[in-house]
Amino acid sequence: MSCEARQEQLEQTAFEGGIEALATDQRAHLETCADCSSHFALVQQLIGDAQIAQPAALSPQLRASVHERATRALRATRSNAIFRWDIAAPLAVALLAVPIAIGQGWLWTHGFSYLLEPWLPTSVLTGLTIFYAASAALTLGGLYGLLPFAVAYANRNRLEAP
Amino acid sequence: MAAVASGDEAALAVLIDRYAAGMHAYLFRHSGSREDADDLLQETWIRVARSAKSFDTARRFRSWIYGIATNLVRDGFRRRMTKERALHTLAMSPPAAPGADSADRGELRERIAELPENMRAVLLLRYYEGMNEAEMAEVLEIPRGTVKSRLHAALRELRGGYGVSK
Repeated sequence: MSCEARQEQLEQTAFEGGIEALATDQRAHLETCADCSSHFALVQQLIGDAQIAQPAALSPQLRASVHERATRALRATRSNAIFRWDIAAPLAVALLAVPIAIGQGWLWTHGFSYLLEPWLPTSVLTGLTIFYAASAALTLGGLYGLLPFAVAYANRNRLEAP
Repeated sequence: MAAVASGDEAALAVLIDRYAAGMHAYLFRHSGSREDADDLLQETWIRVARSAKSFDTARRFRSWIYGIATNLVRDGFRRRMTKERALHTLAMSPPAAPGADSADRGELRERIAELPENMRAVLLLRYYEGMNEAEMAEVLEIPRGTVKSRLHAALRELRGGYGVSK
């Protein structure tokens, strides 16, 4: 039998009962083979160390934190509905904002500007139109730019909900 | 585990109470840092909760969860765990009975901490978690032959320069 095979056998013996469990031929081999002898000593030391190093109980804070975070994660997997109000609501607002802005623009160009034309110079009307278009574009841009943050916020709330 | 997959929080709590302390000890030995072990333990259980539905009931739960923990140590979290930090903490870690025995244990643990990660994992699972080759193969997702050779290499590496034959 090779030393490698013997060392596997010795390891098994060490797990089963230590040096007392060694067969006569194993003892004889250990006395003559320094390699197997040091292997067996190491294995015994590892087993001994593992027996001493029993796991300590978790601290109450850590235990509570593990329970809390795992439970929250489990809850999050449960509420996996495709439709979610917390995401649908900001999306709906963003979508509604476009026709509202277009409608307001139409009202301005086809309504108020005609009404105000006789009283205001063209340059003022043009300035007001530019001002309206720019502010509407900025508002819409800001609204759409905030959408990813709204979705992230909703997802985070969902994960952290008690 | 089937109960956890169906959303049973009490079943999850039972699993945590049964396995968390042992897992924490394993993660501490593997990462070498108590803070990292705390983080890894929480991350492990979050992943357990998230993947409960995809758990293959043909697998042993213990192997599955140790696999998750081992992968966490190996992957992202490993980046921030320096060897110096691991050595420092491990050297301080043995619950200290004074004398030659505790000095030997300290030296042994330092040597284990110095092993390459894949060898250290197999050694810890075998000796400190009491797993057999089949379980280790499941945890590490490698063939049994590789487990055997890795364990042998780890023991050989530990013996190299380490005065166990006294």
